[in-house]
Amino acid sequence: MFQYTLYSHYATIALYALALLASPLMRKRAAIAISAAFAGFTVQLALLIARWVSAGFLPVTGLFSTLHFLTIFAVGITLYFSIRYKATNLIPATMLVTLLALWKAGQGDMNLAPLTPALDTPLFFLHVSTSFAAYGLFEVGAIVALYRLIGFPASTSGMERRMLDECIYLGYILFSWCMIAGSLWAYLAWGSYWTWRIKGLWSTLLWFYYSGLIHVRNRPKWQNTPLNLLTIAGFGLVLFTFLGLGLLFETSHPLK
Amino acid sequence: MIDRNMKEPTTNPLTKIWDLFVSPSAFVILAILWCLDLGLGSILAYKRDPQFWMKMDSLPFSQWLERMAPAEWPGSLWVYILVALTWLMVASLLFCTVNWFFRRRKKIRGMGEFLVHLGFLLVFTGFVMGSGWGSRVQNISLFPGESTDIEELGLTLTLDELRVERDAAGNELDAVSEITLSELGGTKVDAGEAKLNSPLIYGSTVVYPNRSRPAPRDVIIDIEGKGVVKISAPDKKALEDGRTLEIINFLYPGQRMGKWNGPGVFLTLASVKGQSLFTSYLGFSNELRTAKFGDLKMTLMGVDTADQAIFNVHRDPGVQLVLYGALILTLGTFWALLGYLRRPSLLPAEVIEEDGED
Repeated sequence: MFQYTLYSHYATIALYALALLASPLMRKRAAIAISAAFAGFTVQLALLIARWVSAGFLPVTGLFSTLHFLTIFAVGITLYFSIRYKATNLIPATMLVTLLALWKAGQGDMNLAPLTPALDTPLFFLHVSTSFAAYGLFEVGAIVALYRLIGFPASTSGMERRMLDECIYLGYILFSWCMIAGSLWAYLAWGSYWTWRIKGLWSTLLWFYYSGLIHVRNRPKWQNTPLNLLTIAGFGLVLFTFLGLGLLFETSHPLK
Repeated sequence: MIDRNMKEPTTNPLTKIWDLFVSPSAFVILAILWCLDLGLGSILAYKRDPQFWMKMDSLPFSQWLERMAPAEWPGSLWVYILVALTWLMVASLLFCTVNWFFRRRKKIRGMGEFLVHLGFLLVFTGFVMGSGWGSRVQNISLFPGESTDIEELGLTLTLDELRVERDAAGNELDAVSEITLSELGGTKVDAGEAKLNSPLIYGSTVVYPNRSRPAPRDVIIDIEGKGVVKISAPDKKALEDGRTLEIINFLYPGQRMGKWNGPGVFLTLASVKGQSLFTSYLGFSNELRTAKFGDLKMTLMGVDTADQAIFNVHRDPGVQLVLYGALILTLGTFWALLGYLRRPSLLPAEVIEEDGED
């Protein structure tokens, strides 16, 4: 499994790099960029499924697995937007962020770690899958917001506003499920649905931040620049809550 | 399309205050302040003392605020600010929900959002109840067959059986406890298995196993001139002259406490009246194997260990409300999601009223 993981990891990087390199010529070679991104996505998905079958549980602990899991959602959402809203211009930015994430993932342990007994619950699957799906949406939302901020079209059909709204709204709903599943799990594991730990606090912070954002996303006064900046800052909070805390602090969700 | 210029200007100050409270902008500003306070406060608290959180989790929140937060001052300032901002946010949320209910109750499409708000308010109410009237008793150590009275909760906890499941390397995977809960000295109220991710839940009381550990059950001591005695934890060993010996602590292999290294035991010699006379540490290294307890010279001959389960028992009178709130919140998100997916297209931002449907 280690060799397969290693080869798949580098194959994914190569395919996403090809998608990134092909994208400056997007008008002429859009098919190359989309095909390379889709191939990389398929390799990643196959790797996830193989590791899942091999381990017997969803392998999303540690730096390598979690960053791969996050990028699967981010690339998947970008491909969906590319097809549905003709937003192929999102591909280069998503590929750039994904390549950075995969470079960092390569510094983590690629071996499958045995399942920690505390993680042996269906709530773990619910908690992490909704969490990373939400993170993926927040990431793509931040990319769309950045395009809007610099005035570069993300979609040839002019659907930036809709994509941004979908990322924030659906991301918020998924993150709410993540918080509920996590709290229920904490209640069963530690006898309390709420603990004063830095990871839980920052996750709640993220939830409240996006609660605020979701309240203003359709308000006239908060449109354009404020909304774009808030969305980009939101992804900054996601990065710190997920990576910053996991790498720099002793938390209940370690990545070291 | 609504022409916003057609709205009549509000002159009633009460209406103005009400509009301010139910304004989403007010909620957002409070949410941003809340995030700034929590973000900075939590990082500074962690940097100052990584064990800060353990202390907060050892008590229900309002009890921590009352008993321990003053001692942490000014390190606890951010928590006080957080409490104030949370109450303001919840008030804003409550007013928004009431406003929505009276102004837009005929629009079923917004019911999802209403349920989300209602669910959150129930969760918050449950949290306040648990913080104010909850109890936490932690680190209760029991050997199989032992019982302990938990006066604070009016319960007796008995460990009937303990099975420690280990992997091939001997690492603990899970500690499965068969436990019984009774009223103090009385009727059995609940019994069952408690293990990782599956605690024993009796109403608002949760008994969950924290972990298990090998602990000294029998310590064998040679008392010079008086022979060999065996002390079985947690009982006291009565000596011939009426004085007693008791195990008060145990250091595990590799564990350190001050100048002492584990493995070893702390023993206390008490008078006939139960007054502590001497406490000393006996270990397995040559220099720590023998110690004097007044006129008695004792040598550690051996320690027999047995697995001991450690439990935390929490009572949270608001937990049912929290669970119902979470359920309503979840239903609300599903309702909102279905409504969102069925929308043909997004409304342009210009047509959303300031007191709108979020």
